[in-house]
Formats: sequence, C-alpha cells, structure tokens
Amino acid sequence: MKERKRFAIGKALIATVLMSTVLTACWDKVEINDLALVSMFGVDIDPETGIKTLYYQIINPLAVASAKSTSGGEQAPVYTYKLTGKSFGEIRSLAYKVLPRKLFVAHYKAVVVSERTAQHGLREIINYIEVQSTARSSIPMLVADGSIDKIMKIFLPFDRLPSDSVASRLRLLTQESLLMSKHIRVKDFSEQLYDSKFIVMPMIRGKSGSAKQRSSEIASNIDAEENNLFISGAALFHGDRMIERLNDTDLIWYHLLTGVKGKQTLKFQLDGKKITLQIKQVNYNKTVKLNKNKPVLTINMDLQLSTGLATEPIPQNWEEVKDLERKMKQYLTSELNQFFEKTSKKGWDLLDIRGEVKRTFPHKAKMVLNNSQYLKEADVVINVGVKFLNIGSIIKPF
Amino acid sequence: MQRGRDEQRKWSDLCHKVQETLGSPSDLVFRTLLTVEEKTIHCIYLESIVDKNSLEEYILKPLMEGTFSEVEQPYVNENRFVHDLPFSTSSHDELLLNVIDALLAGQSVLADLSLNRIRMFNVTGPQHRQIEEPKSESIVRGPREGFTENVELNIGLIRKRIRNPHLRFEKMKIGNQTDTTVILAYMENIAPASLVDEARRRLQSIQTDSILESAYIEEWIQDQRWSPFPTLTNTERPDAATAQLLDGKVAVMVDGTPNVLLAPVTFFEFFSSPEDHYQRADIATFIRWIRLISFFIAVFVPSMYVAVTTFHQELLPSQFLISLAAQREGVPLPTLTEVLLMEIVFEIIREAGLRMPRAIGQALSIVGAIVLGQAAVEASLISAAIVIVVAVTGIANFVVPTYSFGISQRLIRFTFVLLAGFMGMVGILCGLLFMLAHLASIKSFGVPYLAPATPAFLSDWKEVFVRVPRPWMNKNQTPKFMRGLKRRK
Repeated sequence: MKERKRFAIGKALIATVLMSTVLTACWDKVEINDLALVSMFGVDIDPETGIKTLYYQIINPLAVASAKSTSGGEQAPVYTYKLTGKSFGEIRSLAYKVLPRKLFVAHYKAVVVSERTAQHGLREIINYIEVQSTARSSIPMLVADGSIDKIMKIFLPFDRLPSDSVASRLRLLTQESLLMSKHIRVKDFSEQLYDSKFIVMPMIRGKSGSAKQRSSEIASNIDAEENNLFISGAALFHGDRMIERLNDTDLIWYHLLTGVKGKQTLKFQLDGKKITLQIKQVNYNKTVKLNKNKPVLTINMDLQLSTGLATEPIPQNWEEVKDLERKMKQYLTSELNQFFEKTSKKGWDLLDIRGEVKRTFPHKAKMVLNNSQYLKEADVVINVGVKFLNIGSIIKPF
Repeated sequence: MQRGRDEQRKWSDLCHKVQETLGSPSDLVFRTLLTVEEKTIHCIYLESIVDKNSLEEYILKPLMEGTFSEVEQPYVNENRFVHDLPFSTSSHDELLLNVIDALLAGQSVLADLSLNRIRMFNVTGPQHRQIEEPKSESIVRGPREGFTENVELNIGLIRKRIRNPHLRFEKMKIGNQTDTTVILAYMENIAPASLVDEARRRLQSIQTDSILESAYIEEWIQDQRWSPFPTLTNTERPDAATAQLLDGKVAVMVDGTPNVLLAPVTFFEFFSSPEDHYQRADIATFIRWIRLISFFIAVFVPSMYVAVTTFHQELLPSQFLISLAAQREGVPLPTLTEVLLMEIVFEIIREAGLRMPRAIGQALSIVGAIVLGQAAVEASLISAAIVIVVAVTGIANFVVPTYSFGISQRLIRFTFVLLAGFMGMVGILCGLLFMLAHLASIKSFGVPYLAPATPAFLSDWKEVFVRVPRPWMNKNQTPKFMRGLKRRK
C-alpha cells in the first residue's frame, strides 16, 4: 500500500515537472538590469509620407537612484532614443540597433503625440499601445504644442524623470483645478472611440534654454522657466482626430458642463465689483427628454462658493451673501449657455446629447438622431444652484 | 559450615561474572565490610555514578557500627530501597541480571550472606545540572525554570505546577542498549483516552537500541516521516508543558534530555508562546499576528524578490523598480544565484555562530553580517537589496517561538526560492498549493494539522488566532479540535 502511494506521488511529481516545462518560465526570465525602463513615450507620424518616429525616454537607474549622492549625478537620468520606420512593429524590432537593453514599457508614465499626428488620427497609436502585452493604458496622453522633439529632450527641475514631473502636475491640476479631468488616459481615449464621443486631452509645450543641456546644470539653475515643460490648454478630439484647441476658460466651462467634480478659483466681475471666488461642483445630474421628437437636455448642478483666497472685500452680511449667490448663478448660467451655444454652432456635441438619447430612448434614438439638425434643435436647460459656504479668514482686507 | 562455603563460592562466582560482563571497568568497586557483630557484608557499586558520601554516611557506616535500620534511615525511602532478593534460592542468572541492572542504574548492591539476602540501594549521585532558564526559549515575563536532564526532577517541576491526583506519569524503558527511562505524562481527566492509548501504543512499539534524546523518540512516533513540518513540538519550559497537559495533550519525557515532547500539535500552535498568557490579551494577540506575518516574511520574501525582479517587474512601483535596477547595475551574478548564495552564506554564519563559543559567536555574527555584507555590496558582487532581503528574512525566522519550526521555515524558503527562480510567481503559487495540500493532509496524533482553521473549529479561533482575555476563554479547557479524537488505525 505504501509502495503504491509512493509510486503515485512519484508519478504526480514527474507529471508536474513535465508540465512545468511548457510554462513560459525560465524562457521569459530577464534580469532587472537588462531592461530598458521606458519612462515616457512620444510619437510623431508624418501625414504625407507615413513615416513614424518613436521617442523612447529610457531611465538611467543609476542616475535616478543616486541623485542624492554624487556618484551618478553627472549622468543623465533619462536617455531619449529616437527611432524611425514605416510601422511601429518594424521600429520596435529594429530598436536594438541602437538600444542595448530590452524595451520594457510597463512603467511608462505618459504618452506624448505630436499635434500633426493628433490632427491626422491616433487610432493606429492607440492600437499599437494596446497590442503591447506589458504596456499600460491607464497613463495620461498629451498632445505636443510645438516640437515633440524638444519636449522629449528636456530635463526638468525638481523631478529627475520628466515623466514624473508631467504625471505629478496632471494629478495636481486634476485635484486643484477644473482645467483637467481624470479622463485623460489612453484607455479613456480608446473607450470613446467606440461611441465617437468628444474627449479632451491636455497639451504640453516645451521650453529649453540651450540646445545642449546637462541635467546637473538644470538642477542647479534657479530659473525654473528656462527649461521646463508647460501644460497649456487642451486638444479637443472627436473620434480619433483632434479638431480644436481649447483655452483654459473653455476647459473650465466644459468640465463644469460634463460633471467634473473639481474646484477652480477665478476672478469674477459682478456689477462692476471684482471678487476672487472658488467654485466647486458638488452635485451634477443630466437628464434628457423628448419634446415632439426634439431632445431636451436638462443639466442640474450644485456649486459651492468660497472666498478663501479672496483679497478683495467679501460679503459682510446675509443680504450680501444672498446677492452674491444670485449674481453668480446668473453669471455662471449665462457663461455656460454661451459656451454651449458656441460649441453647438460648430456642430460639437460636447454634452453627449446623442449618447443620452440613445441610452434613454433606445427605440426612438434612430429617428431622433437621423435628423442632422438634432443638435441645433435640441434644447439645453442648465440649472445652476449656487451656495456660499466658506468665507475667508480676513473679513476686511487691508 | 558447608552451606556458608557454598554461598561464599556463589558470591565469588557472581562477582567474577559481574566483572566479566561489565568488562572489568575501572570504576567498579568491590568492598567487604566487617560489622561490630563480626558479620561480613559485601558491597559492589560503580563509583562513577554513585553518591559515595551518601553510601558511606547512611549505609556503610551505620552497618559497621551496628546502627543501620531500614526504617529509621531518612535517606532510604521506598524509591531508594529498591530490591531485596533471597540469595541462596535465586538462580545464578537471575542474580546476575538483577545485579547488573542495579549497578548500571547507579545502585549499590549489598550482600549479607549470613542472612541470605542481597539488597540494592539507590544511592545515585546527583549528576544533573541546576535548574536554569532555558536558553532556546527565553521569555521576558514568566517563570525562569527550565527542565533538566534528570527526568525525576522534571516530573517534580510539573508536579509542582499541577497539584492534582489526575496527573499521570507512566514509566517505560526504551532502548535495548541504553534502557532509557521514558515517561508518558498526561492528565487523566482531561486528555482523551484515545490519545493516551495511541501515544502509549506508539511508545511501546519503538524497537531501537538507543534513546539519547527526545528527538530519537520523536522520529519513531511522529505521524509524517517525510515532511519539513514537525508533528510533535518540544519544550524546555515546565510552564509550557504544564499548559499543554492542561489542554489535554500528552508529554513524553526522556531521561537525559531537557526537551519534553508534546503531542498533538497543530500548525497554528507554533505561533503561540507560553508568554502570550503572561502578557495582556491585546498585546499577546498583536504579537501572535506579528509571528504569523514573520512566518510569511521568512518563507516568501526571498522568493518574491526573485520572482518580481526576474519575471514580473511590472508589479513593482516605478520608483522601487528604479532603485532595485540601480543597485543591480554592475552586479555579475543572476538574481537567483545571488539570493541562493547569500542565503547559504547566512546559514553558514548562523551555524558557525551557534557552534562557536558565545563570545566569539557574537563577533563572528557581526563580522559575517555587517563587514562581509558591506564589503560585498561595495565590491558590486551583490546588490544591497539582497543583503536587506536576507537580513529581514533571517530576523523574521527567529521570531517563531519553536526552534524546530524555524528550521522548517528555512528549508521551505529554499524550495520557494528555487521555484521562483525557475517559474516566477507561477512557481511560488504551485509551491504554495502543494504546501497547503501537504499541510491539510498531515495529522498529528489524529488531529488535523491545520485545525482549527480547516477543519474549522470556530470556538477555538479565539485562543489560536487571537488571545482573548481569560474570562472569555472556553470554559472547557480542552480545545475543540482535541475532542473529536479517534483512535488511529
């Protein structure tokens, strides 16, 4: 009995060992220092020739990890490899002509595409990112405002890795302003491709002092303006193509209308009086109804006001508070309506009326949306609720 | 007169045989005494194991002076006054066997041929060390006493703690050559009868020449021969042994070793320490969980490190990965080799530290751990992270209260490192599944090894996974998983 049991265990062990040989085990083993850790990835496609240029910013771990000490301080924290070819796959396979380590894209933090590529369409790039087995699509995608070559070759103050700096700024802007939403990732972009919705991606601009830079020189330069990357406005995409640039003000109204629950401090002029207010969206809902087969979209939003950072005189009594709330409500409603009018005239369905009708009235959607004028004929009702909650600490500024 | 001469001859033959059987040892002493009544008394003993002072003071001297009285002798109690044989009517072989047994047990054999009696007195010398604090199981709060090599003293240490008539000590002799005293201890009113029967059966079935330590017994009576996990635990602490006896377990005490075996034992009991019951409940629970976490650190950290750095780099946060990559720049060895090498070096240092005299051992550990590690990192032979991994693993390994379980962890760790080196996380997962299946298949004296987790005995959880305050503990002292014990086939 014992012999038989031992034999059975032996058989099980042999089977396990044999089966383990088919696992991609030892074969895909790679040492950590044989990897080219990509920190940022840039793409430019020449619309005329179709020639593709990929920029891989590869981390030099020794320089990044030893930033505090002096040993690796003289080395560049990243090296930018520029690779050109007719297709992404071809470029990838030929990368090792110049790259001594295995490309490892699981840790990149940002993708930058050139403006001309964005205008021509990003479908191919999105597909390329998605087909790479280890690539992540939960990282932000930015559109280069100006030369992508310059953006990919700038060292930045503070962060040794430019991608860290960019990712950190995008995160902070999302938390602290209405200029950015969370939906700026590659996956957000690829998801909207199905519905042909509108999406906004941040733009980035580079400024470098001299052609040849040393990271240590930039780190020791007091002027953070001289060499830096700047987040500047955003690109509006419809489908996979960039159709317009949006400035900061447009972005704020756009994000308020699309329900981004962020906060933004702005200076308003109400009845000739200037006041700095922070607005924060706390509630948002969007409903659509059909009125004689014409869509009526109602947006209800609740905003909180705060004068926390105001340096101007702030409301002193209840009447003034109520007055400010009323004026802000009027002002915001008017601005939001104007923004909507402006965009609908251009044929942009930024509020996704098409999607709302499809979801709410799936049977009538075809009939309603077949009318090419549905957007212009649609009624949009924007109800803004404003409540003044936080009053600043200085009642009477000096 | 003729009869006296025959007895004298018989005695001379016996002495000759004894000498021959024992190989004429240098410590074998034959003495002949003449008492005041002019009687001749013969005495044999092994002077190396006999307490000569007691022998002189309480037996020989009173005999010569005619004041010897068995009743009045405070020294001679039931236990010490072992044997009284009729000399002339006993067979030669029977006499020889008894005398040899007595001599080897440290007794003194006295023959009064005129009275036709041969007597054995137990005057064994106190050849045991003093009761000291056990070095392998030191605690901060609690009794400092530890078992010694003398089994009778050890019985006394338990009796001192359990003053209960239900406490049982069954004596047996095991070892054809060594004839070692082995005691099976249990609480008759608490320990399941099937457990005691099983323990007794296993002990009685041992067929061996020698028992020099309780580990000899352990290997005979354990449930699983091919397993890194011990199915019996051992302790040097009387308080720990007492607590286990009160839980209904059995203890096996072996003469000549301070390590007392305890059975049955479950996997999770290795994370408990007697000290848990001497600390506040919340602190004891916290420390118990620290031990569980330490187990996972000790077993899995090196293998996880190998798997993550060679197969699954995407699992690490970017900054962490960059730091590790920077450390590995210029290191010539693959990660797997690096980890195995460092683990083996660490084991060597640990073993050397244990065997060295204490003062040198400490110096060796410092030289080994700090100087060697630092020098190796600076020479770029190994990465600093490996030193951290090995050090953390080593420290975590010491957290487990039972030394034998610590050794198991060390063995498993190497297996997991190899699995991780060949198959990454898949390997670790396969190994883990195998380990869990193996653990689930083990029983210790009929108790499932993973009890009370699986099979689940929820009422025991409050004393295994947490240490609840005493008033909340189970009223019945026996853990529930002990109550379902059945006789093993």
